[in-house]
Amino acid sequence: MQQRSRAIDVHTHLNTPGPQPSEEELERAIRTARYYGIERLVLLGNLTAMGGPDPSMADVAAINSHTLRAMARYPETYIGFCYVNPAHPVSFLRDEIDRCVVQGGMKGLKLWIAVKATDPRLEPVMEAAAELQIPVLHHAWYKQTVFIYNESTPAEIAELARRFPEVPIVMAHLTGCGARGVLDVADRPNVYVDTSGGQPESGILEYAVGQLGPDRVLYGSDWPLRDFGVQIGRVRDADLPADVLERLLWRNAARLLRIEEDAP
Amino acid sequence: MKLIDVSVFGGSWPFRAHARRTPEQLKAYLTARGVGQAWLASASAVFYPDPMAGNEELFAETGEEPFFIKVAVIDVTLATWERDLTNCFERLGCLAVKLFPNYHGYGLDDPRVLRLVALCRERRAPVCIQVRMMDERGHHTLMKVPAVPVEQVVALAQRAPGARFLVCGAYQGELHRLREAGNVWADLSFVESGHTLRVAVNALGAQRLVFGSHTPLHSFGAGAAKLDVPPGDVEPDTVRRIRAENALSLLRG
Ligand SMILES: [Zn+2]
Repeated sequence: MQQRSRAIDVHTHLNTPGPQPSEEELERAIRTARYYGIERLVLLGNLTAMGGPDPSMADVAAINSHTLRAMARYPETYIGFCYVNPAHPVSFLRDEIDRCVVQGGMKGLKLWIAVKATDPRLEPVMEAAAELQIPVLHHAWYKQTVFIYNESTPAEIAELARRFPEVPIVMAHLTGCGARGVLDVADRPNVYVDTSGGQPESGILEYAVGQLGPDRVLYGSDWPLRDFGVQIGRVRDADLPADVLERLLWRNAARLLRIEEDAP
Repeated sequence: MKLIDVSVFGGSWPFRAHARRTPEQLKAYLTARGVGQAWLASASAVFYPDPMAGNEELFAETGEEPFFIKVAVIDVTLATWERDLTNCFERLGCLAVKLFPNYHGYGLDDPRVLRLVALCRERRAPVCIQVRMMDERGHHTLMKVPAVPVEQVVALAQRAPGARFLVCGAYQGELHRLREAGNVWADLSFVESGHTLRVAVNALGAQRLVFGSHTPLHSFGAGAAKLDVPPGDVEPDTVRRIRAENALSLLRG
């Protein structure tokens, strides 16, 4: 039914806990993604079932090892991001990023809700990203209700981007950030947004492309909280030209993640 | 059989730019996406002081177009609601009624609701309860409207066993709570999780789910993708029911 143009999904998780990723869960995610033309999955970690909002060092290490095992099991699909909690000691942060990115081949860092984006403790994390030339994907949302722990607003992401202009930042949850959030980051060229977050509202994708241009919006689903088909369906049905859709679904992420451009 | 979409809005919605589409535009848009019939209600009627103004202006534009099932928005707190209901059925040709208890400020335990349900039952018309119009997290800062608790729909439906109800806008996690009332259907417009359709069928059963897109406030393509599932995920017969057959039983009784 959908046009199955290929895609990279920059925002996915696993949610079965354990030292090893569940083979059934990995296989099911890949099979479902493939059905919708999604070839590569950025895995941000099993955050909800294995750590919670303020994970310990042991939790973080377990989550990242879980991600590394998923990458090793299905290297043609999974691209790992290293999850960190900036409240941890700088030495642990440095060692964990080294273990996951330099040695383990992960391609970015993930920040969630342990501390605010404006917390000074993000400094060593952002410096590591700058040094390694990798993107940071950061949770963001504007909410009127159901606040969770230290979640950051898009305005706080914009402030982080101002302090670290050399680091590409992917602001998660376009729909949650809304028009106000898009405007917050419009003048920060190192900020990208992913298309996940909340109900598939019409119009917001076209609005984001209008404000940020076609190169700063990336398809992301937030699987398995959300549905691959629904989240990519809203992108494919957006009122945007085919070449812009191709950027949102593949090219922008491929550039950011340094994925070799093979002919489709 | 073509897709039946039970959740489409005409008129305008104050919290969204450019969401308004005329019935003609809606028909062209939906037909191009495989829809054969759409249940149409006025979004303007939610906020107009008298929702009849919303019903009247939308259905004057709709005319006798058979593509649309006209859904009347009724506010039972207005003195003339019974007359409005009669006008909607007899003059405007409505075949269903939609209530917005949270926006219009009453509970489903209000005795006027039970009276409305009885009048709808006489006409064999289903009663739609719109439990939310937007994700509560994204409401306007000066207008936070809590969702209608689905338990209220269940309690109402149990008091009116001969009537048929449609819940529009329930979340995935609310569907299983509708199970205990056998005369309640639910649309898919706000239902989502990994494997949306399979999880929804497990929660509410194959007979009582209907397709609703929440057009033009949600992306139609996102809604339609809920029915486009990988082979083996959901029985083709179940998908067929949810695409159209269940909506026909809901409408005709
Ligand atoms: Zn996420």
